[in-house]
Amino acid sequence: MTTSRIKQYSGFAVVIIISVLANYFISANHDKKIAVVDAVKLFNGFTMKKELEKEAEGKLKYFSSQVDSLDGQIKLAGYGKDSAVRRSLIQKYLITKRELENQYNQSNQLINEMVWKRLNPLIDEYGKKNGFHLIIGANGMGSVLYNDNYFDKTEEVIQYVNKNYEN
Amino acid sequence: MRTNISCWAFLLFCSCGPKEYVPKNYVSFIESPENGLCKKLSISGWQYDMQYRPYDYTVLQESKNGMSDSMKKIRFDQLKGTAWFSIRFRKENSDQSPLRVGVHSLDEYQQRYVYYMSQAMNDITLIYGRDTLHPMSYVFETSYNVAPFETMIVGFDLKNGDKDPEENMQLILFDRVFKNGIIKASFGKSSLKELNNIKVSI
Repeated sequence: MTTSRIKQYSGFAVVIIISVLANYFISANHDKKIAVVDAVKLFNGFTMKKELEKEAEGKLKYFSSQVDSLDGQIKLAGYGKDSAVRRSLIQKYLITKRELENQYNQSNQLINEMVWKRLNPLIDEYGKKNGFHLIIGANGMGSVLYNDNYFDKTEEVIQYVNKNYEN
Repeated sequence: MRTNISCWAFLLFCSCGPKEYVPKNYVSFIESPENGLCKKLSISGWQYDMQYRPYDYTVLQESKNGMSDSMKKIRFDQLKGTAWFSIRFRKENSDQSPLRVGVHSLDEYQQRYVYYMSQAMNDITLIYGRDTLHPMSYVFETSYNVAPFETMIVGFDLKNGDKDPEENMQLILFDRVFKNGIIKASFGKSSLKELNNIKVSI
């Protein structure tokens, strides 16, 4: 075998070794899968959240229309006179408005609780099925300062949870 | 050669006909999640079994302690044009009735009981094709704390004069009590069609 032939073969061997090593490192890094999910987008994109809000809307609309109606009655009672009727209307208005706020807060809290109770195990399931080691929830509060689309799986997770929800 | 062909034709004919089940196997078929008529859902530590109840299944269950043939015929006629489902729920890894789970007073227990007896039907709907149906009948089959589960049976009147369910169906339950939100179970046309190929001796 000539020297030049030996050099040629050893050159090939080096190229092969380098490509094998590169491949190994790339796949090793791929094994450490990380995803970033926009928690607010996920919450708002979850079909159950939309349906729960629609369901709560009816009750809230009832209180809201009562507040509007009392407001109109107070205006009709006149601004100048501080009559007993007007005082009673104002009292009713304040009670109903407080009730509306309470209902709104309670309903929001309940929807939050129900939605996250359902989302958390589904996100776990998604992570396990897709071999992720870590899913970071970005929520605009500073936990993730920058995120390009490379690790962003928000849309995929939204699709996964909604498909699972419909059963 | 000719005998062989006729043998094969006979076998093919036999394999194309409806499968015949004895009642026990038919019930197992319907209740098996693999056949698409019973959905088992696990949500936040609660298990919900939402099952479609074909007419044969209903009559089989009702005639366990004996029922005359004429009565069976009447029941079949009554069931025509409706779709029935059961919703069984239980707390996972618990041997308590769901009505007792996390309850701190008799009042709280009774509130739950009254809800399931008379109000829960308002939180159940069926999407039938493109229509939203509300229950026309509802029964709460309480286990009286003897079993760790409770069962709701719910029936819907079908639309468009359908005598048997023919459309895709989705049963929807809004679980307010255990705050598990909206729970859905879909039953596809194909699973319903499969039932046409099954016969049971009732």
